[in-house]
Parts: sequence; structure tokens; C-alpha cells
Amino acid sequence: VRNLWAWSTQALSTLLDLGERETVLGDLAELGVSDPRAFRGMLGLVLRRQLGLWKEWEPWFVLLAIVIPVCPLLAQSMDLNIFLNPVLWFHYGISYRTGVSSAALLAEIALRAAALITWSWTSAFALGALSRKTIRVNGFLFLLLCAVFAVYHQPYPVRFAWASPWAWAPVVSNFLVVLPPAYYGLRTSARSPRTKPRWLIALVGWTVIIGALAFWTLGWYDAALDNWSHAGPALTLLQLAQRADLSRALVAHLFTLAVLTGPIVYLLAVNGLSNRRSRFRRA
Amino acid sequence: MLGEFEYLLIAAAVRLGDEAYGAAVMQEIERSSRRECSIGALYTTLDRLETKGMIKTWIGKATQERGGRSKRMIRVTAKGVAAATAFYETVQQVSHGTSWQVAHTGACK
Repeated sequence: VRNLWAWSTQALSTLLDLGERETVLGDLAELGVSDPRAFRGMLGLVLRRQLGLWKEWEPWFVLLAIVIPVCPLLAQSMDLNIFLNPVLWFHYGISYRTGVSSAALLAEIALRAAALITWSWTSAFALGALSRKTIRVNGFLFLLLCAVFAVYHQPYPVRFAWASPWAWAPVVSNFLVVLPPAYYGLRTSARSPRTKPRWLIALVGWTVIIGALAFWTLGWYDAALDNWSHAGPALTLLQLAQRADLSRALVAHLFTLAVLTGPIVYLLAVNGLSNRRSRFRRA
Repeated sequence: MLGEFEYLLIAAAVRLGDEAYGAAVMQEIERSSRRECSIGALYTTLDRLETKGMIKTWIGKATQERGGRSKRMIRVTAKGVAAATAFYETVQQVSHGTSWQVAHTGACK
């Protein structure tokens, strides 16, 4: 128990600035206070410091503009069936998406996985870059909400997930394309939130293109099913590309695309504005 | 006008002089006021007083007994001394001629 108090005090102290952490831990060591009292003192200080940070508008902006809207939409777009598709294909030789050829299915999964990885990384990176001091709190909330919504959006009711450890496999496979990239995005922005405008422009371009392609693939299934219901063969990637309407998919998913691309676009705008200001000051 | 804890902190720092730093001030406050002082209250009050220009703090040397960790040294500025003096005088003036016997105040026992 004693180690647990000491470990918790050390863990809490990581939320303080490096200089303050050193002096506070040094004071507690010198005073020789009991472990529970040291923990209480550290908790009080960390809470005061964190509450002080939330007096600014940036953490609230990040919470309301990134964490709350992006997490449910990411989770909703997570329904990739990365796990179900290979299982059905290898065990039964059938496609989860009726009427879609295996190459087309693979392309659909790859595009959506790439879009999810991009969105989760860019959102987490923008979160950290826009409010660096509250990156731990907002970052933790971001990862937690993504995980909670992912469980909520899984293909079957949550109660079935307790039936067998294997029932968690689809949820875990969906986690893999969102949580590690998001964590990596947070770490990258914590290390160096400054970015070059050219790199940001390229990132925005990539995010929009990969997002549009991912939503385009959502229309593939309808086109393939329509063809299959008329006794047609499974459609290849090229045939699907010709039949599915990109502009229609974009209009249908415009809101989701805007919200998921929003954080990195906002970061680009903020970056451009600060560059212009510094140039103005130099002039 | 200073708060009570701000006054206690300034008084302790003045008493300790060149030896005023986080842990020492905390011990001094606990010894003189005979009540527990939390490290959270101490550090946030230090920041507040420094923002008001009543104290100056800097990072001092590390010692063995602190596990090789540095100290936050404290020095009270002239503005801090003036504010503490004003606080003390106000308390003295307010208390002058006041009888603290329970019967006189009509307070419940």
C-alpha cells in the first residue's frame, strides 16, 4: 500500500512542470511527510494547477471543437470489419460485402483504414498543438471517448462481447487503427508542436483526399449489391470505380468529412496567422 | 490587502531570511500557526504573491536530504514587507480595546 501511495504521488507529479516537480518532490522528501499526506498535497497542487489552466479559452476550444465532435464520428467511421472480412473470406470463401470482388474489398478496407489513421493522428496532433498545457487531460479524454464510442458502435450489442474473448476481436481490431495513431499524434505534438506551413498544407491535402476516397467506397456496396441482385458477377475495383458516384458520396458525408478534417485545417489557419503576425512584427 | 495565509507565508519567509525556501517556510508556518499546511496551498500562494510583486523566487541548490532535488528559494520584496506591515497594523487597530471573553461577545459556549 505504501508503494502505491508513493507511486501515485510520482505519477501525479508528472502533470506539473519539470522545474516545479523537482522542487515539490524535494520539499516532500525533506519534510518526511507520510505517503498519504504527500499524495493529498500533490493531488491538491495538481488540481489547482490544472484548474488554473482551464481559465484560458484554448483548452475549452479543443474540448468542444475537437474532442467531443471528432470522437463519436471517428468511432462511427471505424466500422471497418477488418476482423470479420478475413474470417468470412478464409473460412467460408464468401465476401462480407455481397457482390464485391476480393480486390475491391481489400481496396475499400485499405482506404478506410488509411483515412481513420490519418484522421485520428491529425486530430490528436492538432489537439496537442492548440493547447499544449492541457494535452494530458484533453488527450486522455480523446483516447477514452474514442474507445468508449468504439465499443458502443461495434456491430453487435455490447452484452454479446462478454460471451467470449473472441467477441472482442472486432472491437480490438477497430481500436488498432484509431488509438495507436492518436497516441502517436499526441506524442508528436507534445515533443514539437511547431510545424512548417508547407508540410501542413500537404497534410490537409492528404487528409481531404483520403477522406473523400474513404467515403466514396461507402457507395461501392450499394452499386455491387444492385448488380448482384440482377444475377451479375462480383464487381471488380475498376467496375466499382466507374459505377459509384464520388460527388454523391461527398455530399452525403460532407458534415463528417468537415468535422474530421477540421482540426488540421484550423491548425493550418492558426499557423498561417501567426506566421503573418511575426512577419508583420519584423517589418 | 493580504489574505491570512499570504501574511503567514510572508512572515515565515522574513523570519527565515536567506534560508527561506518551500519546505522550510512550510515547517515554519506549521510551527508558528500550529496547524497543517498543504504543499498545494503553499505553492499556489507563492505564485500569487510573486505575481503581485511581493516576493521573488528562484531555483536554488539541490541537497542530499532532498534526494538531490533543487529548492525554490524565496525572498520578500519591499512591497511584500509593506503589505505585511499594513496587514499587521490593521489587525492591531481592529483588535484594539476588543475583549475576547465569551460573555462580552455574547457568543455561544
